[in-house]
Amino acid sequence: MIRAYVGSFVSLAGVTAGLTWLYLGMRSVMEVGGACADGGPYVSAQPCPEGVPFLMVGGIFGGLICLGLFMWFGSRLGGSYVGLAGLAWPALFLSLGWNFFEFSFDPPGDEEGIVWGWLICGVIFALMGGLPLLYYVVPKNLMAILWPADPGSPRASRDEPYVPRPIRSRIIDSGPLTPTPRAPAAPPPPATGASAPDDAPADELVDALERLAKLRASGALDAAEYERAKKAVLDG
Amino acid sequence: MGDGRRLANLLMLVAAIAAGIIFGVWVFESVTG
Repeated sequence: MIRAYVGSFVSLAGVTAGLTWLYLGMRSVMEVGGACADGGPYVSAQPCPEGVPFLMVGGIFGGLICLGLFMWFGSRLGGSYVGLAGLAWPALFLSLGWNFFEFSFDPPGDEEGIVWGWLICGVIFALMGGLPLLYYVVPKNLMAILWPADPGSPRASRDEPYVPRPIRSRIIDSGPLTPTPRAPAAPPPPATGASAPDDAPADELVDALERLAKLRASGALDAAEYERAKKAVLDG
Repeated sequence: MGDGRRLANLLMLVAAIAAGIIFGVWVFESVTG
């Protein structure tokens, strides 16, 4: 339980830290003109701001790794908190799209007017981030994630198998399972050549009873007819 | 499992997001000067 909380906290913080590095790194690159280069045998016309390439690459891969970890730990929190991971997509594209918008209207250096290339990128990013966000701005959907009707409980340990909630509610939450009493083992069949499997007659009996139950349910048999037929099947 | 648990979970998630942003800005400022 503690592991689920600590893991969720650290991994979600890692996701937002990665997004922050991408947002700030992109701004610092746009401030030097929108493109930069480092390393290699050539002299770069526009070197990158110090530390930015490292942080942006780290933000991408570190953020993705943390996102995966959050989906792992978040699924163990119970409820639907793991759905919060889907917000990373709108957060990424809307924050970077905001940079495109801002710098297209207020370009760095001596540039005047609107930088249309960045404006178009801003529109594309706004659409990519904004359209999925429409799902989350519906209060019902957002509340289902942040304030679940049934938050469940964290699993006690990782050894406990993960069971999706609808199935869990049918199987586990319906009460403790009691072992079905088993019939005493039948004596081994006499070894006299080929014979049908032991459970074949039982299967036929179950099939016949199921067919009868279906006929009764469909109304083809009334109650009295059903009882008579069932007795006949059971009596052999 | 009631409102207390939900509130604790929500606060934990909000705190994680805030901590990530603060940590990210701090690291960025430290590295880039």
